[in-house]
Amino acid sequence: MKRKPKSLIQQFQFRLFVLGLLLICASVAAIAFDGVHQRDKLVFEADRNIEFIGKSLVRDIERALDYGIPITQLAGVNPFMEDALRSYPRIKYLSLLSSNGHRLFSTGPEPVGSEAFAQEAAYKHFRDVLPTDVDGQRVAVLPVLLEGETVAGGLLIGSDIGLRGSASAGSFLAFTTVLIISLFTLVEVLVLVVGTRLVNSVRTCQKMMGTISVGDFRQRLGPQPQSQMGEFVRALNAVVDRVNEHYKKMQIQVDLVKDGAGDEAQILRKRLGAHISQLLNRVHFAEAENSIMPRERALSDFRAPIFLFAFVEAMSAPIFPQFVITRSDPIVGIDVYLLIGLPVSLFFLCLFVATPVAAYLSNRVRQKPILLAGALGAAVGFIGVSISDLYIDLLIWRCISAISYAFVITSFQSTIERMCSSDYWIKTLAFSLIVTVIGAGCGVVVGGMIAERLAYSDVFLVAAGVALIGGLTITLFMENLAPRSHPDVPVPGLWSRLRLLGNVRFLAAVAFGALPAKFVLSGVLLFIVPLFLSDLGVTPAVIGIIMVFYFAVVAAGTPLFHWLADKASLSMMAVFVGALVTCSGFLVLYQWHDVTAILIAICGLGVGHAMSVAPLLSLIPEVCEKEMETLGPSTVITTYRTLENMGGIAGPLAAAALVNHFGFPHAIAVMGLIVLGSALLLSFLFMVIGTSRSSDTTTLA
Amino acid sequence: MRLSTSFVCAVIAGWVLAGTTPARADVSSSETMLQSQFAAANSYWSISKVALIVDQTTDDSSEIITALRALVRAEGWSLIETALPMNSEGNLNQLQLTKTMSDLAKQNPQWLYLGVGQLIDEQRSFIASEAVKHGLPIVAAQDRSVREGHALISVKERVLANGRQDGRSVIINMDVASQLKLFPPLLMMRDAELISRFHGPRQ
Repeated sequence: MKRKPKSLIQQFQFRLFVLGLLLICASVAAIAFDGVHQRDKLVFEADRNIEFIGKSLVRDIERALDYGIPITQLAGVNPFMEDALRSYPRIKYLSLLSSNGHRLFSTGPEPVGSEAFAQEAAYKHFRDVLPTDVDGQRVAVLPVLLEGETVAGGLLIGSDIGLRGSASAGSFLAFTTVLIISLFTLVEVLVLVVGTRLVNSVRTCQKMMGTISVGDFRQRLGPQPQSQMGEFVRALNAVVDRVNEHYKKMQIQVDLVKDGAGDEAQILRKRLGAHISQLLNRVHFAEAENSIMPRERALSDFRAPIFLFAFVEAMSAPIFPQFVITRSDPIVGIDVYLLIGLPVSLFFLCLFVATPVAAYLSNRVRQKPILLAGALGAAVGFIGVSISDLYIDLLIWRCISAISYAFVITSFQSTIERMCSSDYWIKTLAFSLIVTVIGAGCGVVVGGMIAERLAYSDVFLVAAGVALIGGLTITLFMENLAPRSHPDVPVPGLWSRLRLLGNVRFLAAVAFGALPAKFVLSGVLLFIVPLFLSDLGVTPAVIGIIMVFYFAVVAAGTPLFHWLADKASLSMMAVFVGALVTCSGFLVLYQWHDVTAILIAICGLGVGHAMSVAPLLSLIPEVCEKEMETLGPSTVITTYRTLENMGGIAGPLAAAALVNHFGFPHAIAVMGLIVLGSALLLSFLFMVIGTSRSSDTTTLA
Repeated sequence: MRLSTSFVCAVIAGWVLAGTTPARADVSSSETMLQSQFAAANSYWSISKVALIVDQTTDDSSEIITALRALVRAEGWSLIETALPMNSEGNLNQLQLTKTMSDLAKQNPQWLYLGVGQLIDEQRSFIASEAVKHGLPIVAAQDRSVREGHALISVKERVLANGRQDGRSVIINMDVASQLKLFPPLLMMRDAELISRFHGPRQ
């Protein structure tokens, strides 16, 4: 049996990944080797962590000073410091110093020799003083400023010297994460560049050779740039042109013979006619001008822009709730958690509203303008968020970002629909969305690191820059796909889409499957997790690294669980087990309120979504069998995906109310139970009424 | 911009009207509120003696007075009760109030409790300023006394939720704290709403 040749792009991607992995392994080995021999260099990371914690303590003290309390008359300093030692076990000693370096208040075992260090630091006004090892503690000092200018004193922090080991491990983890993210980013960009510049041309030539091999010379290839590939295409076109030229010459000769008179000419005409018809049965020539063979396109061409947009959108996730706090003054009568949750909720509301508009435009306007408008809108939105001082401005700019994101994602979905056959496009869509998950995973890590090294607002500026790079990529590499043109099949309007809600099974799948999934995504992952981790004293970079576990688990688990569920025809079971895993993870966090428990809860959420989201999406064609025929698969799926955003709207608001009333662990537990309850209801409903209308008739029979 | 502002206002109004955030503490029916107020006051400055000034123009305060007596008894504190002095027309006798405050100050209570009542509502600012003049910090039943008057602290329902104070938060007048040289503890300041006309965090 003849083996099917491997796809060129698959071979290329495989080799690219192998090369990237080798590079990563080599880099990680080099860092590990360097780390073993030069651990002291990595102490920098530990110092950064202590500085971050110290700054939050200094902020509390400075706030009191700004209200006119003299530093010597601060009340409750010792309980404040004891609370800090309890909250951050790595800190062993705290001392509040006067502007001349004298100790005013202190807690913990004082390192012998710290007094001299404090005096020296006071001489430098507590600025630019490098941390040092004193009596078995790492001692650092931070200035305490009055009204942001005058040095009122200093805060001396002594931390565990054994922290170096964990700092080394932390730095190693951070380096490795950055390297892996670099690999993903590099691969996506390379796939785009090589795909559009080389692989697509090769695939087009391959297709052309295929048509020539069966004797079809009616098409020729389009113009190519000056390169080896261009030379090859020109040579191939020349061969096709020569063959057609010879055919035309032969036709002229035949016409001359046809015009001849006499018996001999008649016999010759008959024989020639038989030969020509025999030839034309096997070989096809161009009658007039050769038509141009359409250029091959691959879904991989669209991966890089989508990757970049998911990347920029996720960059702010680890710090967004904290950033909102810095932009919102307390409003009397309004819960602060509601103020934090409102922009997250508003983001999903804008997605909910903008997605149908974007879908309408995708069917009527070329693809490139939509994507470019999305890129520019995202960049403008991020710059606006970065420079916004007022809460209301923040909300407005966030809406612009959300609308832009809706345009990009919807345009991408529309492209998949146009490029895939109707039988496979839903599965392709489910798996293509993994690119967005990988992009988002890379984004949270990079965003967290930027926030820690620079500032919260800088994350949005960098995101704006990456969005502009995404726009540039679209301009340079992507073809301007024409809008979908099906003159016979009108695009269903809003009313037709609303008819879907009459299908109880569809309604149940949305209400008890899709909505709860988005509900916990926005409420737990984007709202509670960053706030809870920040409350535990975790730095933004580590928040990003913890959050990436969700994206990694979803990216790795979705194909695996979908394949398993598909093989065993247990999609509904996968949805239920997914909810059970999510809820179990949340209950672990309810029991143990620490970083490890949060990590377990996040991984549980990832496994839960990997098990339930794609199988549920694959169930939709079965659930909406009739609507798929009347409205088309695109309308059904777009409506499903639009409606699921309602879960995203409710998530942060519900989480805000729950956290306000019960605190983080209880809120997470309640949300987990909501997910489990919904899955139970969905399973029960589908068990009773079946997943398709045909099961109604079966039941009746 | 106007549309967005309206939207945010509508969402906020919806939240408030939904009853999740009571706009004002329902003082007359809330014993737990009184307990929260004195828990905050005790964290601020340890209590052994409390003074109470009673508005006799209204019966609204009777419930609070009963609750306060019970609380003081339970905690082992002592309570000094005194009536708000009135003239023959039923208005506040301002001269007499100065003397009342002076007498109260001589007994060294840690806190003076300013309850509710018509006269207190009308003369809130004057009563509180007289107390401050005599070095008496006021813990007020209504947060308006902190915002508009000279009361030092009060507790309000869920204005700033932090999950640690049962949905209530402390409100402190920092100008009064400076005047009395009685500054709040740092941990309390972290979660409290701080009111000041002269100071504040840098922008």
